This record gives sequence, C-alpha cells and structure tokens, in this order.
Amino acid sequence: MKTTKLRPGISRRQLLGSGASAAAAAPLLRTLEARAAPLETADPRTDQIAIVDLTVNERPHRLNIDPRTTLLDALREQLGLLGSKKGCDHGQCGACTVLVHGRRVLSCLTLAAAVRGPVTTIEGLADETGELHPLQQAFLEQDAFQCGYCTPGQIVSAIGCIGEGHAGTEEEIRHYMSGNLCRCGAYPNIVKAVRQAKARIERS
Amino acid sequence: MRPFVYQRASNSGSAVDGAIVGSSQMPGEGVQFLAGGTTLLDLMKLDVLRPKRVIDINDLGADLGAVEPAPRACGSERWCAWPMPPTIR
Repeated sequence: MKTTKLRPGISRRQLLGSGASAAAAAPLLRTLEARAAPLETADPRTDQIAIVDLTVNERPHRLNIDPRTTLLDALREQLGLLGSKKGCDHGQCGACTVLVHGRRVLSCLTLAAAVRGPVTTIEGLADETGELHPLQQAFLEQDAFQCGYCTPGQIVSAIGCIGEGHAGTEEEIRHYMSGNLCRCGAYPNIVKAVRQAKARIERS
Repeated sequence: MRPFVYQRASNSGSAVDGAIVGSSQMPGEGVQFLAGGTTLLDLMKLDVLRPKRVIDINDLGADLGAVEPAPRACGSERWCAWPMPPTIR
C-alpha cells in the first residue's frame, strides 16, 4: 500500500518554518505518516515529513518533522523545552535523559517518530503549584551540582534509578547512575541527593 | 545523518517484506532495523551507517520481546556477577 501523499493545506513556507531541512526546497514534498504501513516507492532523497504525535509532560503535540529528528531535537527545537540538554549527542553523557513511559531513555539516540508512550522531561517534574519534585529539592539541599548542565539528566535518571529499585546502596546508585557524566565532579553530592530523595519518596 | 525512509513494522512479516523491498531497491547496507537504536543512531550520526530505509521493529514485542533464560548466557565471569534480572543467569 502506498501511503505517501501530498498533505493539503501546508505551504512550503510553513514546512520550512516547522524545521524541515534545507532540502525541503526539493520539487516534490511528500508526507510520511509515522505509523504508516510500508512505503514501497518512497525515496529517501526526496523530503519526507513525519507526522508525529507526542505527549510531553501530559500535553499532546502533533509535529511535522524530518524523520531524522531525534526526540531531543524535537523537545528543544520544536517544543521549546530546553531543560533536556545536548551534551555529546552520542549517548555517552546522559545529559539528554528523559522518561518514556516512566523508563529512562537517551533522547539524543531516540528518533522522535519512534517514540511510543508519554514523555516526561525535567520540566514536567514539579507539580502544578510549583512545588519541586523530591529529587529536585534534594539536589538543591545537597548542593548536587556546580555548573548544572548535567543536572536535568541526572535528576531524570535518578527517578529511573529509584523507580527501578537500584538505589539501595551508595555503590548501587553510583553503578546505575553511571550513564550520567558530571564534569564538575559533583558525584558525592549527587549520590547523597539520590539517597535523600529515595527516603522521602518512600516515606510519602 | 543522511535522509532515510522511516517505516514502522506491525509484524515480523511486514518487517521482512520491507527489508526485501528495500534491499532490492538499494542492495548492500540499504536497510537497517531499529530496535533500541543506541548503536544504530550513533553510527548514522557519524556517517558510518547510511541506511536508505530504517524499519522500526519496536511493535514486534509479541514476537521478539522476550528474554529467554539460557545457561551461561554471558561469557565473562565478572559480567555474570553483576546484578541481573532473575531470568538471566
């Protein structure tokens, strides 16, 4: 079944404005339904726009994006959620960590079109009254950062770490947080913050 | 990263069909399957892998989603000593 089609109602200017690559000037604009069946005749050299439904921090979004767009770039450049950081963009530093369905993933190595399930970023942790998540509060109280660049990834990753039941001992926290690098070397206080938050989360 | 056609496979058959169609159009490294993607996306960003078609097989959990227990699945003693789910020993 051929599912590529022209999407009516979208001008070239809107497509360019929505973040499509410079190649959007190609004569034939095609769209690609992200959840579509095989595209027997699709040509990757021609632009394709993936229509992607993303729920981020409980808000639904529909994005028209290049299929190459990573979840991180979609969050930062399409949705303006700048909390998740681009450190290495190769899955080595963990600064881009977000939760999908409550599980931590590296958003820089995840295609936005391939995301299934709700996304939670650092922006979605505090409650609607502005009260911080116990981990955010613990990072403040334990002085668990210096420059702060890795902190959103550290906090989101720590939620995963505690949720997975891998925050039992300091050694275990260090092991299961090892995907999140901190070049300031705030590790001792990060571990303290995770322990403090775990105790608070378990009490509540 | 080079442009590619992104395709979601709803079952193993459509994944294989997509790969066959893709291979016939562009032999060689033209097709890659996407599961977790941490290696695939990394190598695509580095221009090491240049698939023309990426077939997302994350909906194939019913077919491929299980981890089968097997005796000595790991070759390294230290790796095996790490904390693992009870199904992996």
